[in-house]
Amino acid sequence: MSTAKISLRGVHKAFGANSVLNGIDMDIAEGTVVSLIGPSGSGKSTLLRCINLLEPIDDGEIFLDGTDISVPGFDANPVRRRIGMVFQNFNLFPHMSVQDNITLSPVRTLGVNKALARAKAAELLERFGLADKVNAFPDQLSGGQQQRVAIVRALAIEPEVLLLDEITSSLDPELVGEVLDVVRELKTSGMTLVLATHEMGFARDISDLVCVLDGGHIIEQGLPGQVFSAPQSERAQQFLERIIRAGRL
Amino acid sequence: MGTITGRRAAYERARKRRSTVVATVSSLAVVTAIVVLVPKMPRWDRVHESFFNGERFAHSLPRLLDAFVLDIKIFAWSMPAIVVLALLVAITRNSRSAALFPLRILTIAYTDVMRGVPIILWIYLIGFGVPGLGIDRPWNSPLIWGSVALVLTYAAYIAEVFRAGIESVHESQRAAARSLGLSSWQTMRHVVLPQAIRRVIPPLMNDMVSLQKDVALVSLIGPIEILRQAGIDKSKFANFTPYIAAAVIFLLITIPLTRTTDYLIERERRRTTGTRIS
Repeated sequence: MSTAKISLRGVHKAFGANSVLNGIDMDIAEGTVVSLIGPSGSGKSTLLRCINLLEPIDDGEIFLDGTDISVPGFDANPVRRRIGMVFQNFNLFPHMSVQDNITLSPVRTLGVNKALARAKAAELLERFGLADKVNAFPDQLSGGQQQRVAIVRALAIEPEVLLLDEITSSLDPELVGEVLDVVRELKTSGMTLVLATHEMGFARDISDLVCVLDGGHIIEQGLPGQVFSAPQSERAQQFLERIIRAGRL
Repeated sequence: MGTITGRRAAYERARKRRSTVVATVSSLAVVTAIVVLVPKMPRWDRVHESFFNGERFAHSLPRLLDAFVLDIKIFAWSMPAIVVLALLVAITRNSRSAALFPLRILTIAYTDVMRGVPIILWIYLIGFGVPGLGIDRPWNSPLIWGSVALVLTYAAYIAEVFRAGIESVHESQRAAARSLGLSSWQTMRHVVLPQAIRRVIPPLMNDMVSLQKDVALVSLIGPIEILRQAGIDKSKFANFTPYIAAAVIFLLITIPLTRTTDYLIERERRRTTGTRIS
């Protein structure tokens, strides 16, 4: 296998008769930021869910450090502790305080002692400017704060890769910035990031690799400068033209 | 809540005054009708004597209260058993593991059969049937098997309440928990169940009120609890007042329970749906 952190080979996924991924090949190098862009329904979110093993794939392979994790019956729980995920709608646990949201997995799955997990949570919250929210409940936080807590929650299990599934799409425009700042910080710290996004300007600035998805295929991939300014495929050109016309780039 | 303008406040005051007047007048009319008209019925004297006899009431009340202790005991040991069994059934039925498929089928059959037959029949069948197998004292007591029948039937109903609660927790909560590396059981235990149980507490309280009354059905197979004691007193003095006394005792328990349930429902509604539309 290649030396990529995560490799996808011929990944197919269908929901009933609706085939969403039609043969995805992709290599994600350690410490890089990969953006998935493309129209709604192109398969970006499904791809991330497949990498996290939340959806079993129908065909193909997914390798993590050269190990095929898509083998049926492969124990998904340890894999998910190495690949964190953040969702569009935050999905914080509403019955738990911020602190309990963050420490649940470290305490229950990694066996970290509670005091240690809390200290670690406090440290992470401090780092992302949420130190005063440790005892708050999700419904007392703004959308941007909730999403930052969700990122902290994913970081608390010390994943090697973080999947970000349209994490700014349900935020008010003025709250998008604070969440994107967190992503920039993560890039600086050397975390491997895969993000599905509609924030084109952000994707252009932060990515090492941009993949354009359409109809379950990667129709274009390359450096952001190349993909955004001189896309090779006709469909990628059309997609980007629509984006530019809508004033989103 | 902003400040209400003077015109708005005056309107609200007038509306409130009018509805208070309407409510008072109509309530008074109904009560007067009952108090005045019912005693004018031709046989009122006899009914008054045999259902509302003060002497019989005073005589029966302490004996009924003593017997009611047994109802409370049956309730007290049945309720936790019902909740535990119902939770187990609901969790099994919601499990997604292929290995549990036979158990899932079993729980579906169990809820269908238990809910499809009147409770009273189960009390007869289990309460008389099982001791009839020749089990030795004290395990052949109808008290035990009557309670078992109550537990089995109520658990089937309440399992459905829990199941509705579990299914009402959005799939994205499971996705978040699983993406953090939690196992399917840890997800159920720490993420799904706490939210599900919180949501079904009001309907659960409703079933507890029913259970509190249905405990009296166990008397049909022998144990002398309040309903049976009232029957004994009735026969001894050929007077129905003990039944009225028993009803009063039940109401003393069920009305506060019902009011509490309403309060919980209202609190949940306010928490989840925001401002009330008038």
